[in-house]
Amino acid sequence: MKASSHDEFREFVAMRSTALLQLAVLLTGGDRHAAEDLLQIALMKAYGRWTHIEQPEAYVRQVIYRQQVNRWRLRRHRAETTVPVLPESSKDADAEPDTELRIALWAALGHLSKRQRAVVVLRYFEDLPEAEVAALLGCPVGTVRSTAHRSLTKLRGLVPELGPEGSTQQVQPLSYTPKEARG
Amino acid sequence: MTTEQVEQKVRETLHAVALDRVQAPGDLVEKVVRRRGRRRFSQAAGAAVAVVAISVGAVFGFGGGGTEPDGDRPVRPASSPDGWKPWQVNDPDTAGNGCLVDGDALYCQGHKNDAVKFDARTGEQLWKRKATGEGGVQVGRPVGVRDGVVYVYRDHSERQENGDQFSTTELAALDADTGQVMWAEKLAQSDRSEQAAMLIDGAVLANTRNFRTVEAFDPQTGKAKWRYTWAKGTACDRAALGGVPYLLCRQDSANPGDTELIRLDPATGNAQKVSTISGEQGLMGTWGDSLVTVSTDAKSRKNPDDDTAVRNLTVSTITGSGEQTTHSVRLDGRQSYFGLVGDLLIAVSLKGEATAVSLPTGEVLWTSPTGIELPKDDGRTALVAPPVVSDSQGVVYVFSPTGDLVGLSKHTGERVWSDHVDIQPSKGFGFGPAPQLLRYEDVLIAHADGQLVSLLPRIGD
Repeated sequence: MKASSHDEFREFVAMRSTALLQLAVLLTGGDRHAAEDLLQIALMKAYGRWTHIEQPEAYVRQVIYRQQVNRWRLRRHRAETTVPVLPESSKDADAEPDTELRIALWAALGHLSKRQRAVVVLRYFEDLPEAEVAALLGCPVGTVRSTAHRSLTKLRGLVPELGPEGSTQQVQPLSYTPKEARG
Repeated sequence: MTTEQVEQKVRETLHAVALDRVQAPGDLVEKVVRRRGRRRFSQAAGAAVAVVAISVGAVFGFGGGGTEPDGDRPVRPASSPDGWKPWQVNDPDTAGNGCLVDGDALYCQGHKNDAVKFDARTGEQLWKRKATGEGGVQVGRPVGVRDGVVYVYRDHSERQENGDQFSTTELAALDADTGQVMWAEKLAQSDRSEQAAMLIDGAVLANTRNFRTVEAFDPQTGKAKWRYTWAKGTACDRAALGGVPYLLCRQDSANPGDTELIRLDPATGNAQKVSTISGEQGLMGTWGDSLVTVSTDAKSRKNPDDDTAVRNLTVSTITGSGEQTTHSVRLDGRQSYFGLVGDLLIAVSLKGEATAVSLPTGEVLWTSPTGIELPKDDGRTALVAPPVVSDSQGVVYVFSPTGDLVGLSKHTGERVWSDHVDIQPSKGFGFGPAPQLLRYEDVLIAHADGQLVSLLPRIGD
């Protein structure tokens, strides 16, 4: 790689690596080391093709997502043993119900498969439509839809406070009210 | 809840994750480039696990020392840090056991002190913490320094039922500014090696309770955060990669079989098996984002005390995700030192000949006479200090227990500097623990038997 390209790569990493690492942390269910590993692999691939890449961030993001799914493919015979790290996980006795629900949900997200987590992050963190998720992961739209559906079903099973599918009843102790609405 | 409500909860949860705490490491580019280099080498070898046969010692007679890609690169002269002047301390009570450099400070442990802080620029003693237990000559250097806390091993005395004092080891956290004890925790055994305690992300990890348990403590308060106990009949080596603890576990038996690499989450202690590594692997150290392990063949294990026997070693680098690269290393006869020095495997023979092997590629880079003569007594040969390398200068430094210091070009093995420091031999000198060589920027601090000498290697003057 030419020195100028190397400098460009270095600048890209300096500017974007934290955001990309944060994305990888979500994908790995809070496992910081696995996230850095994932990011390193993606950057390694980008480094090798740097002079041919027009949109580095899009490329690296795609590699991160696909690498995550590929890892799932390669290791599907193994049990998922992700390690959830709770976000702002104050487990104080006076923690607010929505905080408790988030903590429970975050822990449950760690129990999704890597493919499920990838779909959930793309759909609900990146807010991408199903078609774009499918294009990113290189799978049919139907697969994205069914994976998302199964993910939510699994989350309901892991977090009883979410209630059964189709229920409209809010579980009182953990019902969520936006902070703004609470004043 | 409806599907839309659940989706909204998931959305809120993902956006509530404290991602602002997640910062990419500053050396990410270097890690990526280095890792890519290793992968390319592995691919070039035509296998996921690259095996490269190299040998160390007599083979150099026809090998000529291997390739030398950076042979033309000159070494850089040393420059002294601001405020530094040459100094010397001779006090086994304050520095007899081992030392550690952190910034402008030098922390030591001595026969009668749990910790002593020196100014690395002048050798001035800033504070000392007297030994609470019996003190003694148990080898052990400070574990590490972070966020204004220095962690040290010290004696832990307990009175037994018959009234006798029984001394074991504990880990103590001291205020780095004052030496005041912040907390202490008894360890499972009197092991004061690098594996007994280490700094990990957000905690200090120590071997407590029993031989099979590691426990993470809050660095400031000593409050236990989590602990992990591995299965009975298993022995695990421990190391941290980028703040994440890893275990290399194998059966604790004469034929231990394969080794399992296990990652512990530094925040929770949750364990995740990363991979299985063929054969019994002993931990050699860490390099960048990899563990470095070594194993020997059955023949080499037969004659461990034979000074002339050939030893066939397998040295592996294993990343945190289990990616493995392996090199074969042959050692002709017993070595005064063989270990990891930066990205080099360095061997120093009993005849004082040094050899450097590139860890990333397995290439023998050079072999070179150091000019050091190692004292012998009753058939034993003294140990050199673990060498240190200055990547910025391009020099590998070797220190003998008789006070000889040598600088060898990291790239060619050429002897670029030598000096001698006055070390007063004491009883048993040279045959106890190996001496120690430390770097304070470009300055060297040679340490043997409680004697410290700080000097600037005048290379190219």
